Amino acid sequence: MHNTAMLSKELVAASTVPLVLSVLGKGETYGYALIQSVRELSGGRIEWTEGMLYPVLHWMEREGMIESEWRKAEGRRRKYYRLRKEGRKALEAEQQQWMTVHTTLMGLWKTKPRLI
Amino acid sequence: MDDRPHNPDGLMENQTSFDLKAAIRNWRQNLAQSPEFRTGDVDELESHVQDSVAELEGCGLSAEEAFVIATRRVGSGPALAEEFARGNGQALWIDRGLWMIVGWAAISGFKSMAESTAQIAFIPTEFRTDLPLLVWILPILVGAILLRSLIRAEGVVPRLLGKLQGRPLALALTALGVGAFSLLLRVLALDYITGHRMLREFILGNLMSLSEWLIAALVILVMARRKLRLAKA
Repeated sequence: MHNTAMLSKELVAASTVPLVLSVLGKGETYGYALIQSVRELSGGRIEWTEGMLYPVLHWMEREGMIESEWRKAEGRRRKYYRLRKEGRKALEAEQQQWMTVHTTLMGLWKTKPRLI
Repeated sequence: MDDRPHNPDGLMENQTSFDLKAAIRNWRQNLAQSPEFRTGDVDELESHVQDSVAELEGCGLSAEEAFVIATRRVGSGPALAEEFARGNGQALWIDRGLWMIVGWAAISGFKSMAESTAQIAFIPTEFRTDLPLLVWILPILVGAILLRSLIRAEGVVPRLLGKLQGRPLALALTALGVGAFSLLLRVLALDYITGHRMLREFILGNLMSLSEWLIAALVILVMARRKLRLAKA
């Protein structure tokens, strides 16, 4: 049986980059806070192995999508990430692609007769 | 004391003088043993675990419980190492090369200072003045600081190097400074021993050593900048 509540592994992997881009699109943040906001927004249904986010962040940084900076806040050192121009472009592309999938699926599902 | 067997609270209280700082330090050291991680990676993961522990504690968990859950959530060492290794390849080698040269600079500087000490050590005591005393004490002091840094996780030297990592020029200048200073001490030591007789020749001789340090500083500068650029993508 499929667990409808949790996202499949493949979907989690595919959605990581667009999720990161989207969260950073709202402003800079650090890894832990990023994970927290994704968990909250998804109602706990998107569960990452937390440490795995960092290699993704580092890869995105090497690709020039985001940049990072160590800063001290509340007495603790944290590495903050923010979008770069390249990242904004990537975010727009992701948005279009995901919207395409979304509207296609929605169009297909609407025709299905509903139980009253 | 109540010694019923089913008393988890009592059991916990008896065992736990749980040292959160030490637990995190251990966890960190375990992680740092994998060559796949770079220093900044481990720092970042630790900062994550610290945040996670703080939040879990805020939910009413004990420090130990919070630590266990936070480290579980962040992922196991080998699995993390595998993920990090994919991206770190080239940067990792630059990192290693850089720290090798920094290590060479530290050891050479120390050795040079120790040599000055050794030279002066064989001068009869009645001739010793303030300057050689400085020459005497410095290597011991530097050696002690280095040793303490190696023994303790949060020593002065690693912290300083960590700060300098992001500033290639400062790192290179520090290496050059250590080199110049150690050479100056040698010159001063010899000046003292020979009574000004050979100073000129010795300074000329040491200019060669200085060029060695210049090259090292230059290599450090280039590698550290390359490393930064890689990190910045």
